[in-house]
Amino acid sequence: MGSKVSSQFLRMSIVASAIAVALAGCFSGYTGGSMPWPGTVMANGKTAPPNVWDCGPVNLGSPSKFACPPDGKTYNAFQLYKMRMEYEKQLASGM
Amino acid sequence: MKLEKHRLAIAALVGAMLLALGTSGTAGAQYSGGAPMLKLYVDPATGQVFTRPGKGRSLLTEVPATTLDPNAIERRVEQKTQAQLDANKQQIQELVQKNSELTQSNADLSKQVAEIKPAWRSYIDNFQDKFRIGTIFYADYRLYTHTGFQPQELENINNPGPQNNIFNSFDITRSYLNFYFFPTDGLTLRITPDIYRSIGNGTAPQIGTNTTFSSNLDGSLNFRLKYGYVEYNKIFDWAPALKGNTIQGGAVPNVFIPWEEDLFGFRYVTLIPWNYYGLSSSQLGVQIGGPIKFNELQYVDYGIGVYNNANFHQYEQTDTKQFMSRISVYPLGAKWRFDGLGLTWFFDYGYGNVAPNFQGTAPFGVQPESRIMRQAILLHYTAENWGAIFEYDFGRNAFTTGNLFSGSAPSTTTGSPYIAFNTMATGFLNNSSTEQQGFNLMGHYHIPRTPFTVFGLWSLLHPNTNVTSSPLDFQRYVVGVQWQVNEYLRLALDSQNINFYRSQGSVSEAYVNTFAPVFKKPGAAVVSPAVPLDTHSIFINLEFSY
Repeated sequence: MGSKVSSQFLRMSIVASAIAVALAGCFSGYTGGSMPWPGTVMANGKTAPPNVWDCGPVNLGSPSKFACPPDGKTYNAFQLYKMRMEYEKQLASGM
Repeated sequence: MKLEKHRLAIAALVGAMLLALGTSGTAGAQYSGGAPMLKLYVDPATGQVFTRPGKGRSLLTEVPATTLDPNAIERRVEQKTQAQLDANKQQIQELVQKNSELTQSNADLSKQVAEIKPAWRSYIDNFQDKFRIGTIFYADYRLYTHTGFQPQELENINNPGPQNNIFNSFDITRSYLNFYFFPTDGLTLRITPDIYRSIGNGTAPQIGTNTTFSSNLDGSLNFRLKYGYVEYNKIFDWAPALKGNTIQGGAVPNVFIPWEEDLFGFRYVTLIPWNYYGLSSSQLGVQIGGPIKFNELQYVDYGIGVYNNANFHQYEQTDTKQFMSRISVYPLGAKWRFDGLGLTWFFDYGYGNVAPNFQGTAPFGVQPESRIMRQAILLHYTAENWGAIFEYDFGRNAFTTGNLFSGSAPSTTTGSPYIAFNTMATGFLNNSSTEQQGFNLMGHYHIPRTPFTVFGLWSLLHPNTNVTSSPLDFQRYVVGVQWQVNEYLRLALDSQNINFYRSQGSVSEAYVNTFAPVFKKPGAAVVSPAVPLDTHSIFINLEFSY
């Protein structure tokens, strides 16, 4: 019995890849909501808070934990959410 | 006589007035200069005093008019009034001061009253610090363009076999409630109930040689204990490098499967290899583990445990126990849990979960109590934005038809076209000398500045390397894209596939019987087709964790 290649698999992989590429293309200019690049220094001199989108999960649980650039510091989901909310409030208040 | 008395009185009065005014008049003459004088006259007969001269009146005295200055009087009145106003003002200020003091006192009193919390409030506040609740929820929608016999992609899901294409389903595959209690520093109790689907009416299980238990399976969504353990994380605090290492006892997440789920990061989409091949993530037992750090960098992460041979949802029947260990080495030092290059070795040794006096029946006899071994060697690299894992697996008696067909199994009822196929698979996989070998690649890449991550998994498994060109050898492919909606919610669109990659053909029953005598009269008969159909599916997965 020799090996065979599944044409169905190829078709599905191509479709999935196309979807992934399309999504990536659509959002390639997306700024991550209102969040700045990791490590950006803001007008008030403080470093911008990390964004969950830029972080990698290191512990899936309740709450999940993420390692975030630029220094690999670990935050849990509650902390990231709180920092994002505070940052968006600051933006809204014009700081 | 009477008149004489009057005269004397008047004389005395006038004398007194003269005496009084005489002093002031002398003084007034000194400072008044040409100031007008007021003259007073008296009638000695009547004793009346007049301001004008008249008959029978004599000059009584002269008074300086300045002493009767109306402005001076007015000033004196004003001074008096001002003094009164000042006094009133001071009194008002004192009242204001007192009022302010009363207000402050009232505020202090209110604060004190507010701080006098009832006992239940104190209890709740204290409880709040000692308790945390969370949840993990997995759900999916799946559609199979091609159905077939296969392992489960996720816990609690099944699919019909061949000729049921376009089967689709909404599923809940995990519904944890995580309860954490922290009664003292370093001590944690975790209780995690989970929901799961039972299927069908189970047969009464045989316990040993002379006992059976009745089954109560009825297809419900049931609640069960997934994790329930006590953890102490200060046991090694005397050694700085081991600070934070833990000892856990109970229904624990074992030292390997949950660790690799975190390493890969897509547990809600699919199972990592040894979990997919049948090793549960939770057993009852005791384990220790944690990182070993020097200068804040992690160089080693380890876990060692002893557990039941049964998993968390089975009843332990053995007089032996299962041992697991995992050691991960980060030669360059890791700043966080999986940071950078890592090498991991996992070892598991245990036994089949049957009672000590289990006899078994032909053709396998006591095979169900045979030794089980699993090993994995991983080379992995992880950054915040991407990760890659290569895993080599090998094992003994670690993959049976119960694992291969956990998602969908061939029917063995009379008339089924898959009876011979199932017998062949049983002969190849359920004997007591099978050897497994697997190769796996996993990875993900986060597309910068987007909430999207592409991920993939490829596995190749030889369920029994002793079988030449086994028709049951298969590859598994998962490829997809994840949308990290926010800190708590993830969605994934992915394709999951199984490819039994050997060319279709037949297998002689005699060959199968060289592994176990499963065919009673093999002769020249063959099993055909011997290679299962490929399966292809599309999943939309959801994870909510809080």
